[in-house]
Amino acid sequence: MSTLNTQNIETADVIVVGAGMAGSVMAYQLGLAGLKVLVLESGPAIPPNRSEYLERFYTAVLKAPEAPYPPEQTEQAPATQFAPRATIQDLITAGSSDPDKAQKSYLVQKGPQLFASTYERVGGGTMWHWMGTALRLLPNDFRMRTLYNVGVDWPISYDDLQAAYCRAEQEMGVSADVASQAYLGVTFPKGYEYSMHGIPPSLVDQHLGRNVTGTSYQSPERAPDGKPYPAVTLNVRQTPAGRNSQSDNGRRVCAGNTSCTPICPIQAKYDATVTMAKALDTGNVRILYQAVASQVQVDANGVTGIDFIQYQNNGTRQNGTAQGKRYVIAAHAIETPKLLLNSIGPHSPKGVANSSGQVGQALADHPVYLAWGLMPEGKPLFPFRGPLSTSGIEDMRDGPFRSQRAAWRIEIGNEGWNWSVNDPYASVCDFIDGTNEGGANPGHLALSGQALVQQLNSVLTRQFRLGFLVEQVEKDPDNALCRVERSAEFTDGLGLPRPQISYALSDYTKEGFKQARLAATHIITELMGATELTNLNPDPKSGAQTVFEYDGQHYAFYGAGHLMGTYRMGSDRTRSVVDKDQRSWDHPNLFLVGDGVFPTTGTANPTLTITALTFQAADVVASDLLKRTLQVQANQAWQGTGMQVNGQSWQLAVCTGGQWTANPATGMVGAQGNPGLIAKPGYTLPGQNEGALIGRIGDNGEPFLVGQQVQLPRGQQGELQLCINDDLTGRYGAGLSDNLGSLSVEVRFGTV
Amino acid sequence: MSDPNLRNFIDLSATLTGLSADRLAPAVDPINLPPVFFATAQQGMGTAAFSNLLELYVSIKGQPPEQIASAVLGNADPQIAQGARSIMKLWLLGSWYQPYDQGNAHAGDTRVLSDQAYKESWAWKIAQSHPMGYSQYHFGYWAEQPATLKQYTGVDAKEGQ
Repeated sequence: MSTLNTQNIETADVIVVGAGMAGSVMAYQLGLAGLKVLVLESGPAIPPNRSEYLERFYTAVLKAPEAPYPPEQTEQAPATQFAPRATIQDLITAGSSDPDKAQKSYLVQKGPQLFASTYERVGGGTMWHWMGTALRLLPNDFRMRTLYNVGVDWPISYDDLQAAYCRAEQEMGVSADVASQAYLGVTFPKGYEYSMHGIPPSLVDQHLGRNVTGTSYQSPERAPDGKPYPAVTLNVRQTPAGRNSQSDNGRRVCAGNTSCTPICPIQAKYDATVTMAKALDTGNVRILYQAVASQVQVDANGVTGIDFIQYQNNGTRQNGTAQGKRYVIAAHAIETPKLLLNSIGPHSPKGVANSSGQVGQALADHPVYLAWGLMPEGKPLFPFRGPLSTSGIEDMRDGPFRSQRAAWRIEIGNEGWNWSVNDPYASVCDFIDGTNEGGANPGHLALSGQALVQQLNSVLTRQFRLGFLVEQVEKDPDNALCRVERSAEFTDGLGLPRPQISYALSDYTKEGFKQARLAATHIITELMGATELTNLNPDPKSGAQTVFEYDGQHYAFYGAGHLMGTYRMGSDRTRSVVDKDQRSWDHPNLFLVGDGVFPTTGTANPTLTITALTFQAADVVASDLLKRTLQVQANQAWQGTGMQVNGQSWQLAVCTGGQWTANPATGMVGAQGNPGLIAKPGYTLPGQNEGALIGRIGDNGEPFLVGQQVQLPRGQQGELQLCINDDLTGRYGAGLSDNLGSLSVEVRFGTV
Repeated sequence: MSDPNLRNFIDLSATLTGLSADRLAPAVDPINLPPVFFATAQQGMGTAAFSNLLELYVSIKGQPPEQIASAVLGNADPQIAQGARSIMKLWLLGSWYQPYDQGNAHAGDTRVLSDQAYKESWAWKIAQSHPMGYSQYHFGYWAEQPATLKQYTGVDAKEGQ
């Protein structure tokens, strides 16, 4: 191994750290806008096809989320690996009695509980093994402090994110039917449709739907006033999914491989490599792979560069610095704070962007309560068929109980007991060996021949599971118990301090588990008539710190892979790391994007919200560098702005001031024009107000009304031109010659 | 490896798993896993124990399947009884579960033989489905009733199932 000391300086308009979901959207939007972008990705390149990843998955014994991806996890040697990551294998080791477990686990787990989620460090990021669930947050998820006096409020509302959610759904190609998704306050623009029709419900969903939908659930819990909460009507509801139900985007339709996690074999499921390919196609984006950002350099004015170490597979390393006008870190809720906290310097004594002390604080997941059941003989549900999940029960994602305990959504699994007990492996071994590890063989039958086939068929076709994604809320959000810090003891193969994790679920979150268990048992036994086989008394010793005790009972929890928090957005710079635009309060040319900005977790799988927020941040970055303000004169015909519209970016023209008139006799007006005078035929834009601000794209573009502000039309390319709505040719009189005044117009990136 | 031994291995496998020999080893078999499985079992059990298992089978193969299974799986020699169970798992799961310490292998060691062994493993067909990550079906199949167990495996489903 060797390090070349030559300093490699790379420059671009914008430096992006991370080629996952947020980094890909950022690079794509900025590349479209015409900015030069350099992406630093710590892991290996996006492969030309997925056959190598698939081969590794097929032959892996532990088919954990990380199984297909490099580096292979058999070694568990993060101290010598250049871009190690958190894995399920690490988690198993961390919960074992292995004397070397601290050294073997990339995450330095300080407890008291284990952080149970993992991620990838490869081109395309953890999106390789996301489930595909593309739920929106609920309006009330944005105002937990105001409504329920817990957590913190977001600095933005659901309505502020509406347009960005639509853009995110379009980018990912989400399959869903709007009618099924308008619940608990979720709204859509009038006439809105998802990209593709919904995914058909599995036989498991259909069976649950028949028994669950329309029933009323009365939770046994009591409000602080001693009264029960209102009963809730349960619905088995289609899950919006970033997977193809149609193939007109060039990728195949879903073939139901039941393998969204760890890998979709046919890329019917959207992933970030789709967007990164489009980013590269702009011709403005390039990626340095195997380039680990190691230090963010800042001075009093902002970031001056990002140091990185690029490594080759033969062990050669080279140091470099990436310099740009804006910097975007898109390395999620663990690697982003790791980088910031490793960047101690004269102008960043607590780490970069950390004057609030909030960097690394309030690490969150959706800890999962898993419950599973076995239908009676003769009532098969036929799991192990279809995408991993196609429906959920979402009706208790919000309610007055949130003042007292965590909400959850219920994901219905299509993979039987694969997640819960590793079936079909466990049951096959049980019925051959006469054991009962999986729970389906209490009689300890040891079978062979046709009796074995029949018994396994009976058991495997009657399995189902429910996954409760529990909202994780800190008791005191300003003094969080769950944290990412820099390890003082352990480094990776590049000598960079590894992330050290403290993790403890609050009583508020644990009470959510308690209520989840009660609801699960109700659904499995009362509504489905099934035998519940959830381990209701997990052993806190054998399961180590993924089992907790609460109110006299033991609960096991699982990771959802939803890393959130650690650099939250807010409206108070002393209590948050970034503002509502995801711009660092401390360093104005630094943006932090991804799930780390979430002030609270809600119960929606986070990818869609990450994507929507990144679209918004990309608008701000692009506007920072490319926004133009110009004067539009009343007495001139079409005036070029010098602003080229590409037909794909989302751009706005906004009138920021001034007055003008197309007819001095009727008085001065603003960009709306004169509402009493409708332009006649022969005017530039007949039927709209005379004197209104109007625009067109290119010399021959169709004129459109700008008014106070407008979303520039997409699908047309050329220079934006602006003009007053008047009789340009003097057909009815003086034409432009008597016009007075001018307007200031700002052209920037964003949505109305 | 001689053909009669492979034949006996397949016939014994069929008896133990309940899946017919012509399904385990089709006459035209472009994938041809049986010799791979034979070699895996031989290496995993050790040549001596594996030969003992096949010799036992040859001596009782005219008996009804239940009696053969009982004689093998209940054998006083734990290497025969446990080795046979690993062979059953190999067919059903495509993985070799090391039954006892043997050479460098330790009891409990598990490995997936190959991508083909995974894709062809029978547990998924017994579940009337496909291996996770290897669907040959069309969009939306999951909303429809599957083919019968008989169609998937040649075995009738349990009564009432």
